[in-house]
Amino acid sequence: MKIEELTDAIGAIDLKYVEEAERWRGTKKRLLFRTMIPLAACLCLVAYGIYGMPGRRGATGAGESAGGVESAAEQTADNTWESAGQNADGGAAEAGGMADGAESGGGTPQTGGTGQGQEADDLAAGCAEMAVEEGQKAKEGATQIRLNEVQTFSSTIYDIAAPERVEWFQAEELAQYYGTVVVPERLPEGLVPEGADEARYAVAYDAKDKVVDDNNTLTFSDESGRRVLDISARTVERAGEVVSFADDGLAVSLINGREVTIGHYRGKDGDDYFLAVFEVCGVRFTVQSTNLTEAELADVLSMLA
Amino acid sequence: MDDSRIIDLYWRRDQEAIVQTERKYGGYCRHIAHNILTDRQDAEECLNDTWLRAWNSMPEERPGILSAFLGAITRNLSLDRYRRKYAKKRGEGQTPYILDELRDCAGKDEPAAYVERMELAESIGRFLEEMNVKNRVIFVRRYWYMDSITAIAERVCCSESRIKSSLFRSRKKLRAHLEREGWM
Repeated sequence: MKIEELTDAIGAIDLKYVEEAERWRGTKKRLLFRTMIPLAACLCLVAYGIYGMPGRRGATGAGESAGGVESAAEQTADNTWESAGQNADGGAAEAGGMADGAESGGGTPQTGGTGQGQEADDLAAGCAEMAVEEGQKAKEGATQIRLNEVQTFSSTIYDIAAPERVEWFQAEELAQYYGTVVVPERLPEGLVPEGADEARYAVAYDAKDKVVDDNNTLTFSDESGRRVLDISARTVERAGEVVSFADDGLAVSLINGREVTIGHYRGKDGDDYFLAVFEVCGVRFTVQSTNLTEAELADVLSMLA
Repeated sequence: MDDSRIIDLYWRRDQEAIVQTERKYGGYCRHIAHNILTDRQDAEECLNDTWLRAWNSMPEERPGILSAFLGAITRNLSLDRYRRKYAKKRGEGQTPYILDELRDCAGKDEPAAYVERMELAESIGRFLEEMNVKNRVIFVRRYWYMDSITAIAERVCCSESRIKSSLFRSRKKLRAHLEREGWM
């Protein structure tokens, strides 16, 4: 078959697929850091002005709200916008929702200043301290899988401002950067790294040399492309594409004594999808698989968690 | 104007049909032509040829999905023009790169047995039917619409690396499917 014949045949597919591809759009949530901070600040101030002034207390229901927002206002001074959003109601709550994105990755372990080497050392040091504590857990906890059957997973893309600089890593260098294993020692049968020769992984820094995006995904697949393993790691919570569970209240598994949330669903196409989410030494892992067995996934998780 | 009314204009041989078609689907078809040809003048000429071919095909044809019907005409005309113009020239624009991605699915670049284009299209349709919607949309946007990776990522709300991974896996699956159905 010539390439032209294949191309022409693709051109002759049922037009319902062409129509579908024109109409179908992915859903996205975008949290924009810089433009939303001033707006969130304004709304919080407005909420405080309406509900938080002395003299408004004592009105039915308002006292509690005022108290809550006052508390939030104090917390606001400590720069925890997220708390402010959660305590206030109405517009301020909406500001909180937007302010979530304005955290600027405040929860991340990186402090910047000397770039990759310092941050990797910080991560490794933090990891060593935690390892002693977690070693205890591992002895007690062992492994207990509690699988959640879910309807779907959720995918969110976080937009950040253009970074000041980007550093590139090969796969084998990522463990040093994250301070923990990201490439399992052994892979499920038949799986190989996708695009291994070209694969490079990025860590983006802002002008203050703080990491703003280190969300990277390593992909492994078999010859047919039917069996796939994606391992994503990040320390900045809201950067890049993040896959998570759409459901709440999921059961938690233990892998080597570490808490891991594992979900499964069977797609309309008959493919089996697993998602596992856990944290190791401040590194957030999202492990997704297509058509791997539960045992294969558990083996991978045992090497990462 | 509603598609059914536009089609009625074609059937009544009212040239207002072309005016309405261009107004409603000019941008859509121009996007497809430009994806393949990149040259604006070539794309405009393809568009004019599209309206002419649509005019000549209706009546007889009464397309169920007018947009896709017109898009298919534009795509075919654009590919034909591209092949005539660039048959001996490689490396211009993204179209040859996109077609090269499919080379592994086509197999060796020699005609083997005689291939019925529509039977092959049906086989590809069976392959597409088994895919989940997102991966199917990504595949069709890349290899039917000839969209760039960036454009697809924006439409599907995915990172570009995920688009590339999806296409990589889809091509592998397509090849396996074509082998199973005896096309390779």
